[in-house]
Amino acid sequence: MIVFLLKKSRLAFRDFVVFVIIFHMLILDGIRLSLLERSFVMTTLKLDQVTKQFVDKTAVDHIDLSVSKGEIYGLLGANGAGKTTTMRMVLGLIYPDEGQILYNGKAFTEELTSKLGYLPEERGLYPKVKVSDQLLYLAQLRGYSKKQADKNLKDWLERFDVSEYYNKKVEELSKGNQQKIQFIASVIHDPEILILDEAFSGLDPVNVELLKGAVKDLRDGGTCILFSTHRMEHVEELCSNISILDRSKTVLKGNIKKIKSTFPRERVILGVENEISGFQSITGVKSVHKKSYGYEINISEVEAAQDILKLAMDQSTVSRFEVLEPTLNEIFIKVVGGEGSE
Amino acid sequence: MNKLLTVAGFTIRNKLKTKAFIITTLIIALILCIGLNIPYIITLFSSDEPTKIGFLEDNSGIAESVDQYFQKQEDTDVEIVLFGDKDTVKENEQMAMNKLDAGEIEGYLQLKNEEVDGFPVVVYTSQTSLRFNLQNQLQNVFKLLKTDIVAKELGLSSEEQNILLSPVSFESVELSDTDTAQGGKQIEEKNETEEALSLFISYAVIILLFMGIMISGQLIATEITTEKSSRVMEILVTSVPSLTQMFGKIIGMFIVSVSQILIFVAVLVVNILLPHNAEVMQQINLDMSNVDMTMILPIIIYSILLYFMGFLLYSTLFAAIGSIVSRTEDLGQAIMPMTFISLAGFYIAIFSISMPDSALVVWSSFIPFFTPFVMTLRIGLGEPALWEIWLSLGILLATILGGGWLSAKIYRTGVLMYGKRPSIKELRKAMKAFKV
Repeated sequence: MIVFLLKKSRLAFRDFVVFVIIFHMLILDGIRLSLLERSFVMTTLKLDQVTKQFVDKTAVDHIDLSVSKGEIYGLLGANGAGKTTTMRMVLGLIYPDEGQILYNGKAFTEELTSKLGYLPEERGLYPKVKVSDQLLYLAQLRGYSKKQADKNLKDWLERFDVSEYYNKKVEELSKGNQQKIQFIASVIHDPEILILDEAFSGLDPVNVELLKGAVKDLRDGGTCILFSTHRMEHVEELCSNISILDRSKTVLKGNIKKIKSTFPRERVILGVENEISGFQSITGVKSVHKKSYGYEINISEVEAAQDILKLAMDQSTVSRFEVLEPTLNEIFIKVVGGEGSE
Repeated sequence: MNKLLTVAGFTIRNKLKTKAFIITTLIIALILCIGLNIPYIITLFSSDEPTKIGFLEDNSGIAESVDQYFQKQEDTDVEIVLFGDKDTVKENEQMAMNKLDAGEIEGYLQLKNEEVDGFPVVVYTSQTSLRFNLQNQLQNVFKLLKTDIVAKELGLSSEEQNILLSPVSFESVELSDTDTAQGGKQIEEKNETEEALSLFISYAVIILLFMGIMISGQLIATEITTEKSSRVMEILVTSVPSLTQMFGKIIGMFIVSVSQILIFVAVLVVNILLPHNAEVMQQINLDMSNVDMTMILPIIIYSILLYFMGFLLYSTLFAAIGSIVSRTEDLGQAIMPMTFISLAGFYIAIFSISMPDSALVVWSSFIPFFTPFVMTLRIGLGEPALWEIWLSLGILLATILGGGWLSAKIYRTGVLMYGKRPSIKELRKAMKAFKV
């Protein structure tokens, strides 16, 4: 194979040696390979310094993000932070004033609409048209064949256990079932890039699990998913990378685990049998809450945790001790809610 | 192109399936059927029984003359029943009253003893009021008789009398220029049937265009607003370029509207061709074999062209309006200006149908919003020069392109704007922001 490559690319021997060395390095450093793949080769959707200015305000201010094939990227932010505008730009509805959006390395063209799927936050289908009619119509509008769309539709309906809705009008369905149909509408044409705006809002826990499973399967099937929600637990479960927007700017961006590790651990869970006194005397303790299992203590510096444990062990048997990493929810509130606490 | 057809197809299918559409089409077709058969139905009920009118004879001989006159007449529904003189006035009246009560006669005539200008005063007695056309007929007869009597008294010969009575011959000739392109101005005349036919076509096209614009235009606007308010628009605009979407919808609606018209035309033609109606048609002097198609064909072609262009102009604007409104409740108010403009065009055309060359008509035929209505009228009934036709069509086409372009821009912007209806200023700002 190497010989073949050599011939094909007409590399000189020196180059060949360099090539072999790099090749070996890559094989040995599997993690490195996967990193390379992730950040350079397989990026499907890339926003580069994207800015959108509306007349009296900046809706999106120099946003960067990239989503790989088979990744769910979380786009978080308070209401009005610029999420919808960002998504609309990705969908090609409005054009950025600055920066660029690349799809598989190329700029937006009209043909791309067949590869994009969109689940808008404001749900909407034709209320008086049959489910099959309008979903096949929407698939055809995306340039998908009617026959294949029909097959996909039946598969999806079966998966969501609602096959009997094929011939029903949308207005006859319950809200939760309309959501399922809406979801199918966004994926019926096998999109490569899927944009989900508040995908699970208004669903009961059982259906949330159902749709979450579907989203995960799509991810594993290689779909690139841009995911926006206010439900942090969904983000923690589904996404590996996130961006948090606040007032049109990116305030936090990156891998969830890394983000979490950069935020100090500020919560201590302490399971004890007896009452313990004297927490307040430890430096770094902010507040103490009595719980059924013992105490939950907020601290301002991690070192205080060890002092707490010592104190507790002096006075009682410790059944549980944990220094919790911050939840995404806490991070979000800290970053977005607290003024200038970046 | 493919997506355009998909959108058009979806629009057509959904429209044809709605109950409202099916029911309206059926009702109008039914009304057409009934309307077209009304002349025949009237002949069924009326022609058999003539109106019987009694006449009390006296020795003047007038009663006999009237009776003879009506007997000679072919297309009259009046029959005179002569009553013999029973000596006294009272007895005579009694007898006539009896017959009136028995329903044998509708009324009776009686000559009074007093005379005005050498003719006895005629009295008509009946239980119901005198029908207008009956009174006309009777008056005419008596007038003739009087002329006759007076002429005899004056000693005029029957020839002299004819000269006096013969009507002034009056002919109406309508000129139309065709083939001006071939150099020499060749003037052809439309015969009566052709005139009637072009009147009919003009009328029909103007009414159909107005209906088509109002109904389809409103439907287009409503559908777009519904798509917007039900938020399915969000998905649509991300799937299809908005221009494709808008024109797909317009084409779909056009096909629906034209096929509806074709149904009505078919109903019309079938009804006219029914054997019992052929007779009626002949009676009102509409002989189709009499028609020179080269006279009528340009009218039909121009009418179709104008219909198409008018539809396009109005529906693009209706689409634009539909796109800026977020809730169907607000739509009625928003399309009001368009309704008024089309109403104005419609009424200018309809009220000028008897004077197709008036200044109002000529000038308004160059105003693009009125052209489809008014030019149809002018081509059908007036005599516009060829350059006038093409000039107005040119202006109309330019307006369609300009309006279509503007509508597409508004549409592109409007579909993304929710909340209250944007003002023109807000719309312009948004257009700039969205870079459309």
